Formats: sequence, C-alpha cells, structure tokens
Amino acid sequence: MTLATTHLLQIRGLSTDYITGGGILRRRRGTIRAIDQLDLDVARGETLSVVGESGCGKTTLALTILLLIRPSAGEISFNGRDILALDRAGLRDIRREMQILFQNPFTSLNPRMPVLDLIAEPFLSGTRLRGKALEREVARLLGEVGMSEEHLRRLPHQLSGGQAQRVALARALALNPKLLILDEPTSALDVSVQAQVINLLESLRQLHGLTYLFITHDLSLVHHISERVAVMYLGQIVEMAPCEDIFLEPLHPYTRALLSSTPIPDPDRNRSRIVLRGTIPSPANPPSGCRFHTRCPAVIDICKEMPPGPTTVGGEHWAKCHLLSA
Amino acid sequence: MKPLGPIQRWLGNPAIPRLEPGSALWFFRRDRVGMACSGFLLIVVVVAVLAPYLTAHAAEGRGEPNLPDKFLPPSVEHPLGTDVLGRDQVARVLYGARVALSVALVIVGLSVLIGVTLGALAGYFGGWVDDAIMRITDVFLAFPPLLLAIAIAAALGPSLTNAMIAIALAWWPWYARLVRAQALSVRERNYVRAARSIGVDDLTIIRRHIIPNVLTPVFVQAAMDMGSAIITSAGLSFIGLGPQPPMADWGLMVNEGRAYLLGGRWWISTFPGFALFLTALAFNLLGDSVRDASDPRVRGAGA
Amino acid sequence: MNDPLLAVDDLRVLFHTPLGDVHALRGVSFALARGRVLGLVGESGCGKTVTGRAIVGLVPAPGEIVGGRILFEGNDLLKLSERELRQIRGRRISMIFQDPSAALNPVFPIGQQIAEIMRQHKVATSKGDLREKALALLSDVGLPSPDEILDSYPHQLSGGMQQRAMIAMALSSRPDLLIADEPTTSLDVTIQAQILDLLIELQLQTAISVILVTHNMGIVAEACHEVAVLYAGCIVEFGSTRELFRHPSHPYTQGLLKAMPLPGNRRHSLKVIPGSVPSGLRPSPGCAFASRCDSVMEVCRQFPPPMVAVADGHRVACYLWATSSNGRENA
Repeated sequence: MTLATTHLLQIRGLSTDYITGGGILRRRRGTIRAIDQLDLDVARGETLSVVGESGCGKTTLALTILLLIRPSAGEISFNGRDILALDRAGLRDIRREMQILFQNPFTSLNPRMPVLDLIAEPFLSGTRLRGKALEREVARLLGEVGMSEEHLRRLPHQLSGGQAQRVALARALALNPKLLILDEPTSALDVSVQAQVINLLESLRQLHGLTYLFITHDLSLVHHISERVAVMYLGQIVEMAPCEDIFLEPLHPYTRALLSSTPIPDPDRNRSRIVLRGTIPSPANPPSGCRFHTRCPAVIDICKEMPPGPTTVGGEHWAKCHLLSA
Repeated sequence: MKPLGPIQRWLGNPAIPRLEPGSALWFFRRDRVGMACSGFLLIVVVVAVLAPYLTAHAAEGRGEPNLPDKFLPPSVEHPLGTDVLGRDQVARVLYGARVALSVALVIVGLSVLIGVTLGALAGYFGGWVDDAIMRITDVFLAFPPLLLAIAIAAALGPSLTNAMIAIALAWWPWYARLVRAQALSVRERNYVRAARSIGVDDLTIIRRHIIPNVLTPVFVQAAMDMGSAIITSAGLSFIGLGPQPPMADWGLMVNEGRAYLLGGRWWISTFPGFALFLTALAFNLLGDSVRDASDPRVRGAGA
Repeated sequence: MNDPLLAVDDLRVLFHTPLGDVHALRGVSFALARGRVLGLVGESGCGKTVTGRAIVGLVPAPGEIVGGRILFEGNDLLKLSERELRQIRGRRISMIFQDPSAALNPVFPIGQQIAEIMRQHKVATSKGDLREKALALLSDVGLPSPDEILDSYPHQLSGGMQQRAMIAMALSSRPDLLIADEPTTSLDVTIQAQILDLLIELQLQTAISVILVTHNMGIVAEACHEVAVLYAGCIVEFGSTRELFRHPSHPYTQGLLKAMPLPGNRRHSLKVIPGSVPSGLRPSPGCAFASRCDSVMEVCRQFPPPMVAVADGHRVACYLWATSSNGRENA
C-alpha cells in the first residue's frame, strides 16, 4: 500500500458498527453505525483535534484506531503498515506505538493498584525491564510529568484529579508511543488544573516529538492547541480545516452552531446565537440524506435525499454541505 | 519499595502510615460487635490449635474410649461431663473446634476458589464461555443446597472430606454469579481498556485487574458463609453423612447424645450444641460487620 | 419592595468526616434581589454547591450548618420548623440539579411527577386542571409534543429533554427563587446553549430570581447579573458581571481568567495557578488563597482578609485592596 510517509495515521472508509440484541434466543439483531465511512489523515507531529457531541462517534473512533474495537469496514494504516491485517506479534508491536489517555483518571486507573504498579505495568508486558532498573525508570517518568517519588505508594483515590491524570499520562508514555489519543483529557478537571495539564501535554509533545489526536468538545481549548480541526457529527466528519480557518470561516452549519453555542467569558460579546432545533438523533436511526438535515437552520430539499460529498474551499479546508456546492 | 500490604497497615507499624481513616478496615475496627466477634473467634482458633495441650484427656478428645467413666455429669474433674464412651467432653469440644474451623475454611475456600474463577472467566470472556458456565451454574442452583449436599455426600460416601466437598460443590454457584455480575461491569471500565491497549494478555488482565476489583462482595458473602458452613456440615454429620465416629465433631456429638436427652443426661448434646451456636453466631455477626464496613452507604461519609 | 429576596449572612457549614471536620463554608454572605440572576462560581471544593443546598435545606449528611442565617423574605430559614420549611421548599424556592436522571423518578411518567408537585403545593387540584397546567408548563420549556411527553417515562427522553422536564417541574409551583446547580454541565454544547437560553428567557418572562451554580465562567458571563467567586468556602470577590470581568480584582479571579484558553493566545503556555485547592480540614488562619498567591504578604497568612469595596457594588476579600483610601471595610 503506497502512502505518503508524512502521515503517521491514514484512515480510509472506516465504518464501525455496534451490534445490539442477541442472547440465547438470538433475537433480531440491530446495528448502530457509530462511524460511517470516515477518512482521516494525521500528520507526524501535529495536534489534530476532533470536535463533536455525544453520539458523534469520537470515542468509538479512538477505540477503533487502537484496535480495541474491530471496524466493520475500511483501512487503517499506521506508519505505513496496515494495522487491520496484523498478526499477534505485529499487533503487540503496534500497540506500543499508540496510546490513549481517557477522560476520567479515576476510572482509567485500577483503583487497587498503587502508582508504582500502574506505571510499571506497560513495562512488564512490553519490555524485559525489571527490579531496580524498572523502579528507576518509573521514577523518571513520574518526574517527567511533574510528580515526585513520594507518590509511588499512593492509590489513585489518594491523589487529586490532576495528579491522577498525570499518572495516567506517565503510563501512556511509558513505551514511547508515537501517537497519543487524548479523549477529553481535561474535561473532568478544574480550570486551573486543566491549565497545568495542557501546558504539560504541550511541553511533552515538543520534547518527544509526539503526535496528538485530541478529542474534545471544548472549542476554546481546541483553538489553543490544535493545528487542524475535524468536526464530527453522527459518525462522520462534516468539516476539516486548519485551526484558524475553522474559527474565522466555519463552513458547515453545524460547525457554526457549535461555535456560537460555546459560552464565552466576556459579558460584552453580543453574539447572535444559532440555536439548533431538536435533539441529536440516535445513531441507531440516522436521518436520510445529510445526517444533519433534521436540525439544520439552512436545510434545502436536496439535503433530505442525498448525503453531500466533501467540497474543498481553499487548500486544506473542506466541508460536506450541499450549500457549498450550490 | 513494595506497596503496603493490608496486614502491615493493620498492625499499625509506626513506620508505615496509620490505618487510613475512612477505609473499610478503619470502619471495621470501630465496630464493637465485629471486634468482639473477631476476638471470640480468635480465641476459638487458638484453642483449636492448642487443643492437645489444653486438656489432660487429649487421647479421649481424639476418640479413645474410657468406659469406666461413662455418663459422668459435669464436675470439677470433668467440667463438661463425659459422654457415652466416658470421654471427657472438654477435650471433645476442643477437638471438635478443630474440625469446625477447618470445615468452615475448607468449604468457603473451595467454593470461593471455584466460584470466583468460573465467574471471572464467564464475565470477562462472555460469549460461549459465559453461556456454558452459566448453564452449569443454573443446573447446580436448581437444587436446594442442603439436598444437593446430602446427595453428593451420600454418593461419595460418608466422611469429613466428602462432606466438605459436597457443600462446596453446592455453594460455588453463588460466588460464580456474584463475580460474573461484577466482572461484566468491571471489564467495561477504562482501566481494563487501558491494559488491553498496552497489550496485556487476557488471563493477566483477569488476574490483575478483574479479580481484585470484584472481591469485595465475595469477602462479605464468604464471611457470612463461614457460619453457615459450620451449621450445614453439622447438619450433615447429624444425619451421619459427615465425619464418622470416633472423630470429635460437634454435629456428631449432638447426634450421639440425642438418645440420652430424655433420660436426664443432658450434657452430652448440650455443650457441643452450644459451641456450635456460639461459633456460628460469631461468624454471622462478623459477616454483618464486614458487610457494613464495605458498604459505602452505611458508612455515611459523603463520596 | 427594596429588601432583597434572599440574604445569606455568615453561613458556615462543616462536614464531619472520618478524617476530621471539613470546613466547607467559612462565613459566606451575599444578597439577591428580586428578578436578578446571581452566579456562584468556583472550582471543586469551593463550596458553591453546598451553598445552594443549604438554602434549600438539602445539605447531605455528614454535613451540618453550624452558623449564620439564611433570610428569605426576612425570615431565617434555619430557624423554621420542618413543617414551615416544607411550605417554602419546593414551593417558593425550587432547585434543579446537574443530573436530571437523579431528580426524575424512573418509574413514573413525567406528567404524573409534575402533577404530584402541583397537587402538593396546591397549584391545581382537579385532574383536568392538572393536565392542562402541566401541558402549558411543558410547552413553556420548549418541549415538542408535550402531550406525548406527559405520558413518557424519563428514560425515553434525551438528556436535554430531561433537563427541560426538570425545569418544568421546578417551575410548576411558580417559585420566587430558583437554584440551578450546574444545570448544563452534563449536556452537550449545543443542548447546553438551548437550556441556557431557555433559562434566560424564562427568567425574563417570570422575573424569578435565580442562583446559578457553575464552574464555567462563560456561562456566568452570558447568564448572570451578579457574580460571587468562591474559593475554599469563602467568597473572595463579588460584583456585577460586567464589572467583575472587566476588572477582576482578586488574585484568584485573575488567575482563573488567565488560566482559561482563549482565542488570541495560541500556543503560549497558559498562566497557571501553582499549587492546589486546600482540603478544608485545617483551614489556615489567614486568607485561604495565601499559599498560592503571587502577591501574598505576611498579613495575608495571619489574619483573614477584610471584604473591601473596589467600586460600587464590587467587593473583594483581599489585603491588596485594603488601603485606607479605598473606602469602607466590611469586617
């Protein structure tokens, strides 16, 4: 498979389904298409943010890339290798290259394992490092995320939210991954703690040349850290652009609504808010044609019948909307 | 620099951080009833272990008859009297404690071992593994436990070992179900996903992540089952399906003394019966305390 | 009537935990006039939620109100009997919570739950009247097909719809004061915007007073007339929204605003407030923020700072502002 080697991750036509129903009587099974024919490229060293609300599939995307969920269609290549076709050995190797940081550190860290064991675990299954050498490495990692050796014996519930997230980060970085997927890593943290963690993430990224896939719903954060932004709705990417462009010139009506919905801490800003009608449809029953048409303030007839293809507007900025090609 | 074990914390070694306030052990320690029962049971354990040294009639405790002294009522020389074969009851009750405790431990230990293993496998793997294990569990659960234990014991032949195996085989399904339910939810937790994303293999995940996090209800159930184990095995030996004479077993002793109750020789059944009652009660109350200490709602402290 | 609807005076709340007594509120005082929206903003552990719950009388065990007064229309709620409190709670003062599924009973249809409240507070009695009023309420909160919703169970509604239903229930008795405890935190951004707009609109229509508890400064900026910033159980700054955002005066408020990523300062490190929030177990004798403050002085560590007026209606608990030329001190 020939690929541009600047791209660390290349995704083509990815679809992931959840099967519902089943059981001993094998009742009629339903499928929920959580990701629908998604294409995505992530360049080496960049921070790509994925923005969307519940049901858009962003967490499913993360789990699929990590091969924790099997996709039903599509291709994923990482560093030039087709990771969906790997054998067990290859899978083990690839696993070290991609890691994830979850939103709530208190559920992503085993509550019965002290910090030392938590950070040591990747080494135990991925390397031959043991004993004193392992402890030294763990202590070094802990220092890198800004914590001290006194925390090694603590259990997660004895740490603050920010500290626990740092431990989760240290664990994710243990095997020197190339790609770090961050699933709302600061949403559960206070603003001041979020600032510390974001600064830490940024300095580590530069230090280790990491690539970040940053999943979040917080648009102000997106603006602060990303190179490019992808907006997801009901399993599809509806707009993708360099960071500045998304904010200056949002093309897709959903992106516009998202931007206008974000509360801004400035009481003098008088914005006209685009309020979307209705609620997010269930992924089990997606609307026909353009999936956004049921809530779109600018819907036209063709939107209900045909799903729009991507329209590129200058360079790297594209969006899927009939209004653009009209 | 190994992490602290719960025992180290319990002993309150000043070099190690004190028992963490708010933890389950801390609550347990403040529970007077629980502490009293633990104390009592500790005494029972010590007494059981030291039985040969605590009585002058050790041989009789083990079963050797002493016919000239039969049917002696309680006196200074024989505080609990002697039984139908002249054996000193104190010795018999002491030796019976050994049997009772080992019975409780073995039964509960065996059922926990089988139940937790099968439950964790069923809950984690799901699919046909889950179906198969759950069907087996259902079969066992369809029988009333005592009847099942009786049937198995009868099939295997009457002996202490077989009685213990029989009861364990009747009880493991409860633990399996308990653990399976917990495992089903634990496997969806993000720390399990994180472990899988690191590349940890399934069995290690079960051992390291699933099992430690499903054990709390198991402990509670096991603590409460200890008392039931003693009673149930006493029941089995009462009807002759447990240990055989001349072994000192409380249930057996109650049975042996049954014929003489109306004849005025009350002490032969009563004292072992009393011992049974106290020990089982202590275990049951202990189980309650363990449950209270583990239940975050009962503890009252806000989350 | 110029008297404030609600006046909280030196409210103190302790939580009795195995580790000791946690000082959740350490003398909180503020007033709320009729028809105004007050934002209580702060990070975790600051006491904003406890304040809201104390007003409604819902402080959970092991919490205990140990001092102060809560004056609602001049009556101290803390001195009322349980029976008198029940007249007020739910009827004159209502509360909505962060998690609607916790407030809505899953085994009863929505209509029945609203009806129960209205019956309890004697808003309506006959079945027809109840149904009519409930339908009106549901459409007031913007729910489509209210007659279907009336017979639906909570789990059949989406998060946003559940939240609207909860708002409808809270407003069914036409309360004077609504306490909204993080009402949009668990919702998606676009739904959050809808709910916020709904609350603002309802507030304008009914002139109800609102206390909005949140950690989101953006929501405060959009929806509140006045803001109280809480830290470690104390109000550190209080003022009108415009005034506070234009002239944040307390170092904590300033730090909070600087720590937020905003368009315009991309890729520069976010300004961080070093350290972390104290646990409340052994509160320091002086200012709670002293250990983290850039401009800390010796007096800050020793004595609690006075509440000083910065401008009209804007006050700060900080020694930096407590010079004699800066107006009166409220000790």
